[in-house]
Amino acid sequence: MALGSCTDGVTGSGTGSAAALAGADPVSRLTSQQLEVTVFSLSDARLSPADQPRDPKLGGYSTAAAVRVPSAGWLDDYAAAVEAQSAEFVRRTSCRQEACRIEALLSAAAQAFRRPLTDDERAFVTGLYQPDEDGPDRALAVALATVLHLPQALYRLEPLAPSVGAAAADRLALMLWGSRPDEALLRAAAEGRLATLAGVEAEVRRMVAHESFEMVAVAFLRQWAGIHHPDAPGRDWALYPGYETRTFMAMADQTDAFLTAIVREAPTFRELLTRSTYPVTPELVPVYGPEAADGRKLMEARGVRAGVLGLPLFLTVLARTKDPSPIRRGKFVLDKLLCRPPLEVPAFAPPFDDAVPGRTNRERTAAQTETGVCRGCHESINNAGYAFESFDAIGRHRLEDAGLPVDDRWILFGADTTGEGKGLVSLAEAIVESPSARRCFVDQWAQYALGGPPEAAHLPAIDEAWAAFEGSGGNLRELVVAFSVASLRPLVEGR
Amino acid sequence: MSVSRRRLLRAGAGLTAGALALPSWLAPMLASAAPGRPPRRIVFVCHDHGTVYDQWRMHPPGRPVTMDGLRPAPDGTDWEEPLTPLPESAFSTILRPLYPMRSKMLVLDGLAMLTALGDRGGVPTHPYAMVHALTGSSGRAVGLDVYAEGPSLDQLIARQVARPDRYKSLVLGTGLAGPISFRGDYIPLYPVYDPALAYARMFEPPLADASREAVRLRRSSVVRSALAEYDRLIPALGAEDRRKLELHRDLLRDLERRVDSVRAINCEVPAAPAAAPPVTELGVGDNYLRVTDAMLHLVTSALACDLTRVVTLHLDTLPAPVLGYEGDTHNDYAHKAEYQSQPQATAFMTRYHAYYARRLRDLASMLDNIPEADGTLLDHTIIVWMSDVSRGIHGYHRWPIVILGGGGAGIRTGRYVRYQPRNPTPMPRPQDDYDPHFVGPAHSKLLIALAKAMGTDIDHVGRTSVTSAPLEGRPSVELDLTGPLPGILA
Repeated sequence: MALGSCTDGVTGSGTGSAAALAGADPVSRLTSQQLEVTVFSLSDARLSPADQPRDPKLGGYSTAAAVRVPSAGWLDDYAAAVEAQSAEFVRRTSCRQEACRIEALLSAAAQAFRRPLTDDERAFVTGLYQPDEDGPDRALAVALATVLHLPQALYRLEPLAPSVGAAAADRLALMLWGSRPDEALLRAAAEGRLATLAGVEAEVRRMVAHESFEMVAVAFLRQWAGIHHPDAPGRDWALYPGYETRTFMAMADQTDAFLTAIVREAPTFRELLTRSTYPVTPELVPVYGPEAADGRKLMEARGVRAGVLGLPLFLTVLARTKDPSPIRRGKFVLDKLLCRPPLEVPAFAPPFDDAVPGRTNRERTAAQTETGVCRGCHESINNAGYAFESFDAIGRHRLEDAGLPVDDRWILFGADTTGEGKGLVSLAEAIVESPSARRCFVDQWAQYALGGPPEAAHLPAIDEAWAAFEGSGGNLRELVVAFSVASLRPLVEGR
Repeated sequence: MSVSRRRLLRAGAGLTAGALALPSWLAPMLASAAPGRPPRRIVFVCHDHGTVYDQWRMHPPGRPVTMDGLRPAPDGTDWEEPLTPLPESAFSTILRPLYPMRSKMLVLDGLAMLTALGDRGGVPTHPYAMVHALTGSSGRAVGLDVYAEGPSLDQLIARQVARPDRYKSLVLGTGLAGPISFRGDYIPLYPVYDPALAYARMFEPPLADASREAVRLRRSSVVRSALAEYDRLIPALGAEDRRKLELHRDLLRDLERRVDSVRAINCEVPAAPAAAPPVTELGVGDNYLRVTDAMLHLVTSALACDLTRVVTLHLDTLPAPVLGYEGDTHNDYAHKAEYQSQPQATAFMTRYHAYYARRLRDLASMLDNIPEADGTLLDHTIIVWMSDVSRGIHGYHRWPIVILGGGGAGIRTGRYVRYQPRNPTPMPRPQDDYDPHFVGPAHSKLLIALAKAMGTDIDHVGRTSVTSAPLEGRPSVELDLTGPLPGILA
């Protein structure tokens, strides 16, 4: 038995319609993170994340469609997870009657498909339940396992969506919540309100005000800053006494709290780069000193630290074993803040040598990379990275390096960012004031939301999002609203 | 028959490095375990940072110590030396741990990754090197990794030699090493990093839960129902979308085929290995050794049970503390090795590569202790020890290769072969003190020879030719990359 094609409307169609939906996104598999809240979270049955399949860990954004290509290994893991989830579902169900079991199965299928079932789908799923062969419990598990292997559960099948509303609801829920549509969104789709841009905007505004959006926004910001589940780097114990893995874990917690507060309270580009109050816990004593030992509190670092760039996690990840790395930090500025990534390190580049003569870290860096052919790239990389020199390899603030005053003068080259200053705070201010940096941030969100680098067809949506971002004082929510609505325009307008 | 395999696997599972050899009393029983002509298998073992060339290459008595010529091409001839008569002292520091395996060992000195030298200016980086190593084709960057345009050799071979009802290949790893195995069309095959997870995939431990067991028992019917739905949807999609669902459907179909067959394998599961520690703790205590050994045992079990005939094992960077050093292997040692001013880095990297030589010896020994037909499992298994780049400071010439086993597949073992650099480099701007103007035979041809040894009809891997750079008045020439490297096969 197979699902047949049938009627239109958000609840009335199979996914076998002959004509693909105009303006639809390409087919893509849900990320493991999304499957965690769709397939592996059915009513009360929630499978432990440890038992779920995992997408490969990559640099860049976890939403990247490229990481979700099918593989035999992933499918093996998925099949095992489906077995476990089906068993868990059976264990959780309190149904004793056949009708109740079938309703539970249909409800689970609708949750996995992220939309109401069509009439054909209801009939198909009902037919999967064969208690005569296996007994009621096992039959329910086998039927659910089959449902969870269907492409409707695993894939976004936008080209085959029964209606614009259904496609829009699914896309928005996954993009803004990393999850399935709620009742209100499904109702908006069923009532045709997602077939207009005004209707889409109304729903998007409701969604970005929801707490589910906070998690997505924080995940994006961590990935944007290159600090999404980083590995704890080792440090020279003699130079960094007290720094341990738990210090690093506390940095990660601090980062989450810091970003969540910004998303909740004032999600602006300025706040992201210049906020100077940081939540601190006693585990961070190795970074902040004894002042941090006194329970959980907010620590003011005005004039010293600046937003994400002042987070110890960020500063630690972009450092070497003993010293901070102006090269890695500068590369981040050029790549992620200004969208002007420097060239890859050429093979002939000699290794960085900590023992090269030079009194300070800055002098050693300059001596090794700002001569000859290296200078072409490193002049701009290093001079951006020097702004962070007053933070050591675990993000401690320092005024001296090797007994000499820290030199944290910086220079930015190129277009509207050309300028110079001293210290991290002034660098952050310069970036906030730079239109090209703000545009870069918009591009980064687009890349995250689209699951890959934007293509030419996405440029109008990005332009609209940028205009909204600029018009709102650099507000992330307004950026997301504008981009979400504009990126749905081809779908809504059928082109 | 099944008893002997069961004992074998129990003997081989979960041991530490000091107890890798398998008991020889299994021989008579195992000899009868695989009647008929044994299948050929291949195992690629890869790690990063190439080698320390001067500590890797050998100087057999009477052989010239030649340097790669920067210009012009040297007029020396290729030479080969039998390994079996050599004393242990003639082995280089890095290759010495493999001395006991010398009669089943082939060392290839002087190959060059011509396809990589001709790609993106020949600038060597780890991700692109990993792409070229087994695919001979280029790739495109995705995040920090690079995905290959063409399929890797392991997958090409698997397509032709895999049993339809078993795993086409196993791609395993440690840590978070990037992909080296590719399906083609920019589709990476990421390794399974956790021995416990790999074990669960391979041997499906019994389930206590009745409902879960029911689903597993009916997995093939579950999959069949899902397959029908994929078949129904695919024709309604555009070409690109269709390709994605077709790939998923084909993998589902493979899963369906495997389900019953793997369960019926006459080979009891070995003891389960412990789960891998967090990646951040791989360098703590004996974690790295434990994970690596667990993977080597799983490889042995997979081959002995005929779960697959192709394995790719990608070992992540050996953390410096494992060898008693401080700092970061990659930046503190690998990139500094071979600089005269950095003897400590050179010493560390020499120990680093000798460590891997010992792991390779362990794997080869385990396979060599499993009798099969008129020889051992190692005789019918080709182990290829390779790296992404040639050396710690990268590079694509003098790509170090050691082959272990495979005598039954026609590999001419027991030799050290030195190739002279005669191919003009495709690299447009070689650095005189780093990249020579002339390099050795194309690594693509070795890949083809390995494919031939596995009984396939593969005659090229990735690019079929590459153009040399017009350097110092020499005209460009087209360098053919098809056909096997001569002298590898009997």
